[in-house]
Amino acid sequence: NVGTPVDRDEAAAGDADAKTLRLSHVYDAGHPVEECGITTLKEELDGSGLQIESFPAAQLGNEAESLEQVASGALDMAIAGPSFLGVWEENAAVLDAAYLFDDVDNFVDTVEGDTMTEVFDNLYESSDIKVLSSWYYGTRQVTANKEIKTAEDFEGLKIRTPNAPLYLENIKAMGGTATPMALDEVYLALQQGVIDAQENPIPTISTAKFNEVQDYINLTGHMIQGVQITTGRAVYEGLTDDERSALDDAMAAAADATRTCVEDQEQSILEEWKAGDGIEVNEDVDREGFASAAEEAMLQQPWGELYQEIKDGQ
Amino acid sequence: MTEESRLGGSNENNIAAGYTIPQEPDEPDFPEQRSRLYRFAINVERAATCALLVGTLGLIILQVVSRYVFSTPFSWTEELARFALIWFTFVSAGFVMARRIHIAVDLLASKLGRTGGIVLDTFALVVVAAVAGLMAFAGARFAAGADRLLAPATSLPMSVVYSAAVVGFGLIFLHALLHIYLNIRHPEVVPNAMDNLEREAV
Amino acid sequence: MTLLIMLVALLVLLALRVPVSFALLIPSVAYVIMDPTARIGTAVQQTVSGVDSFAILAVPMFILLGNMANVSGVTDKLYDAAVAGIGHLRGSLGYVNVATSFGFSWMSGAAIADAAAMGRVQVPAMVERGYKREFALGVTGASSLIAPMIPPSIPAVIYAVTAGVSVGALFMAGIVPALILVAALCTTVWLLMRKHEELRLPKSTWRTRGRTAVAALPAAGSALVILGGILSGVFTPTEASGIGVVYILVLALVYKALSWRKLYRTLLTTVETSGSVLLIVAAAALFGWVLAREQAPQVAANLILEITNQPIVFLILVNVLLLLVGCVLEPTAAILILVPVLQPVAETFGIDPVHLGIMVIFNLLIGLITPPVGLVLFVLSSVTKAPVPIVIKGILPFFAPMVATLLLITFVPALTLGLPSLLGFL
Ligand code: NA
Ligand code: NA
Repeated sequence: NVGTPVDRDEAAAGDADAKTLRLSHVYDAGHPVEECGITTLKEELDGSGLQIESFPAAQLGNEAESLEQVASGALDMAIAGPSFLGVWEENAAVLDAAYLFDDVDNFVDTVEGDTMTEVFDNLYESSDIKVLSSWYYGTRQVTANKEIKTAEDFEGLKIRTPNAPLYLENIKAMGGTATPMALDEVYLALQQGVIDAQENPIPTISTAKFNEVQDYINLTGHMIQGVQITTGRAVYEGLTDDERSALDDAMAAAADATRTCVEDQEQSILEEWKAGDGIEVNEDVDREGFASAAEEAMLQQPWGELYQEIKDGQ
Repeated sequence: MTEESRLGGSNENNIAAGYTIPQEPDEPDFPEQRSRLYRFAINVERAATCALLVGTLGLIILQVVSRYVFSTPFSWTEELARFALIWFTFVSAGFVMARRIHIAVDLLASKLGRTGGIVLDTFALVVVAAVAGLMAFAGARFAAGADRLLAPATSLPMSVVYSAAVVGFGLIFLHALLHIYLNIRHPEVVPNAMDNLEREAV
Repeated sequence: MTLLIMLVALLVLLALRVPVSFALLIPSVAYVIMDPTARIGTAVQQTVSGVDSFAILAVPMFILLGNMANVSGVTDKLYDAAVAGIGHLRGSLGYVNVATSFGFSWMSGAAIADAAAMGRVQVPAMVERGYKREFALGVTGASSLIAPMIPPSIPAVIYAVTAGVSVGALFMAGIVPALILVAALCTTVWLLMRKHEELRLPKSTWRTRGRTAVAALPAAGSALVILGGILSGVFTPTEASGIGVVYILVLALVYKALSWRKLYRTLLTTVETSGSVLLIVAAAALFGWVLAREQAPQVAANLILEITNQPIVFLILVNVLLLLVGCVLEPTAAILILVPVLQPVAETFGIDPVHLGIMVIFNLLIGLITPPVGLVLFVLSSVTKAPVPIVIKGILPFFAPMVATLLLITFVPALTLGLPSLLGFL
């Protein structure tokens, strides 16, 4: 049979009097960023005189393009990761460095702490891009057909990463050979043995069904990642004090909601894999060993000192 | 494809004008036959587009080779190939404008007759010239503003990438102006709406 | 309201013979200028962004591949092999015509290239052998639509990028429908030719058959490179397009079919077609950005849900819309304009984007042989010097197999989705 009939329920009409902010991001409508984060944001802003109109799935542009639009005032809000912010303010990229955080609490404390606040303020000064909030996006883990415990296990392993310089550096620092590749080609490449391994947050691994073609998920936890919610100077300065505080509160609630959703997903999928007889979960990973190797490599980066500062402050 | 099999502009008018209709993409059209300087410029466009096409092909092959031959594949081939495609697109679009073979819908034009067709064509050219000029101008400003942004893998300034649009729309603007002039001064060499169909289409 | 103005402006500009790329750019640029919250810089950014894609790179490469294959003379070898193999059948040149197109389809991603190449050689050959000119034109035009259904396919690349689905999946999804089309065309040839006892060639010896088959074998190499490379995961579709070009280049050198001048002309012919198409891709990206900003998918969804909530009815509506659009607009442009709006709506009906993709592509391909703006009709007319009405008359009997194939594709998703999911693409 072809497709399924659709229930005709009326879509919630927007508040005609409220100030509408267009928000662009690259995640699908089913992703926690939209389903938990933006949904919460919309609910919290209800009645505040502000409302969010969300454009998922890169409809208004990819991360780099959306940031350019935000900076120039052509777009009200965009969600982008640290590597993309790093194009505008070098130091912002530090948040994508390997083994910067021990856990998610650590991530939350850091993005809200003084050091990063200063970095984000510099970004605002130099580029008119205002970071409103940082949402936890997931922790990246390495899947492979063997157990990876130490850097030696990485030897000779071709591991796919997104095509961004820092991701390649992270894997190199851990002892792997990074091969950049588009996400939708990874399944087949793993199946055919063109690459041996890949790394992603658990929900992504599950959605892309990589657990079908890989024997082990190794809990390397090498990147505890977040995404930043940004707006432009003109929009931010155009807000009244009431609107700003409403937006700040809504952002905080949305950040919590997203974190809860992502952590729930990570946990329940992992439980499922542990119980099932498909992919095996390897928890015996020498994270300290990887972390110290990563630290050495990350200090060579332009924001090496900042990396050190954040680690020391934990 | 053989010489005579190529679709020609089947239009007696241009024969009277003493102008040989180009049958191949490397043969000169009317303005090229009239001006050596213009012909030189178009040949530069031809060479540039071919070089970009071959260069893009080379980058694709290099990407495959680097993955299977070297232990660490190059991370910049993909990005550079994309940028080469952007330049190829806009410079080719300029050359295609010079040859007057951008894809259009010939529904109405084919029913208008020769004079009506030329009037309509001139109108289309004016509109195209206006928007191409605007895009070239806006593109130059946008490219200048993107100067401080570097592409992640190649560290090329994004202004280099956006300049492709400036060049492409600039070329389209200039070629459109020339065709407007030719439509008025030499209407006899304007190709019919239904000529060149095969070369336009995919 | 804004959406309606955009749409009307597009149609008016198209009717006034403004190039498709500019008919898309003009209303979009006007929108960006008039909306105080938009910036003209974004118009430049989105236009460039439309071709900032590794997947789109496959488009000029596949055009080059087809042009190079044409020059290299592999089509003659395919033709010889087909004649030797099935020349003794009644109405054999009809089947030969379909078979040659099928063989060539593994090297060419576009229908026009096939119609032009085959129209030049096979229509005169068929007429000379006593076939009716209408029949020769009809079978050539109809079978040219096989090329974009079989990988490589330019519409498939464009659709995949526009809808955000895997190019490989879409390539695989087209194969079974293409085979159905081949069967449907052969059935039509059989129906039209079954009484024509006189239209057959002497049976070839097994020796000739073997010799011509071996000579045509290198043509299969292209299929091997593209399909094998993608299926084994060794190359991405874009990389396969580049490797395919190199393969055909080597083949042309072996056949001694290439001079520097011919190579230059082949490159320039590729530039001419790609330049035009890629600028449409770029302009459509900006047009699509405006549509998304104005919530066009939601508006379309609400409009359609007013009419129906049944997927079958929705698919029928889509088919009717696409057949109409296909009559006036060229497939790539139509895909770029319609898919960003249609696909999200189809998704709410639970229709797989890969299934929708093949349906959309085949639908628009039918438009290539439908008046008033069927490009295959015009190209066939121009390369054979036959008047357009004669071409139309010839192609009429072939609409039945086309529509039958379309209905099968539409209502039996397994035909499109079966192969790609079997191969791990879905
Ligand atoms: Na094909
Ligand atoms: Na054919």
